[in-house]
Amino acid sequence: MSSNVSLARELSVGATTEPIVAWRAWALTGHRDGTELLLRPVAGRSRPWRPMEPAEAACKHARLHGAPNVDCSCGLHGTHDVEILRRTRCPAVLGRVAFWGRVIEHELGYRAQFGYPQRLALVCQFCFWLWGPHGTRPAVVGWLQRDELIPFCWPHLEQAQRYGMEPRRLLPADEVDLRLRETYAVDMLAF
Amino acid sequence: MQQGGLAVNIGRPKRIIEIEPATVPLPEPQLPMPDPGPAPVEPMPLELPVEPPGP
Repeated sequence: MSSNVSLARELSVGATTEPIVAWRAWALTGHRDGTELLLRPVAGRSRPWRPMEPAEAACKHARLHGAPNVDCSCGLHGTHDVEILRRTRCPAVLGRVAFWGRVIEHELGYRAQFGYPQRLALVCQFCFWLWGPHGTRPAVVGWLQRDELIPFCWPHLEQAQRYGMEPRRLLPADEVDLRLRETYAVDMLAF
Repeated sequence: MQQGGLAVNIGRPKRIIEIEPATVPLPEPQLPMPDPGPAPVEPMPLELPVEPPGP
């Protein structure tokens, strides 16, 4: 196939009224007191997911096409399976997300036009990398530079500190977790 | 296919789905709590008739 032939011509197009629900991971930012929590993409410089309003995909090639476009990698990403998210860089929050609008289904996930989280939970990213979603409940949330918030279990906090990662402040994970769910008005993610 | 804020590979595209949900899956806006109004008046305790002792 020639590289300038659009993949869109090979794909079937369907229509439905039911939003698709997928797995997703986010980074988390907030103030030193645990307020002003915002879900952010774990990679890239995309916009944060704001509470109480749908996230909308945007593409740096917006002049050429809307997002998501079949021949691009733009769109809000989600996965069929939670295990694949263990390869994600620095996830702080794991959750289920609803997608709607134009959605492109891939072999292992989706790219969508609109999305909003449905269930959320903080995860210790080191436990998640090692063991998957089970047993990843953090004990504290470290507040670092540029308002970055990183949840840790106690053993991984000690390990991170040994390697020079020193949070400026520690917040109780239960409180941040509850505030996050209240901020986005969503339920707790059950593993 | 990579990136999109997730940094994992989700494979090749399979199909396109146009989803127009009947209800957009957003939480309901939180309504302010209504004024509870004046405190309710406590009901008077009932005086139960004392039954005479049985034979």
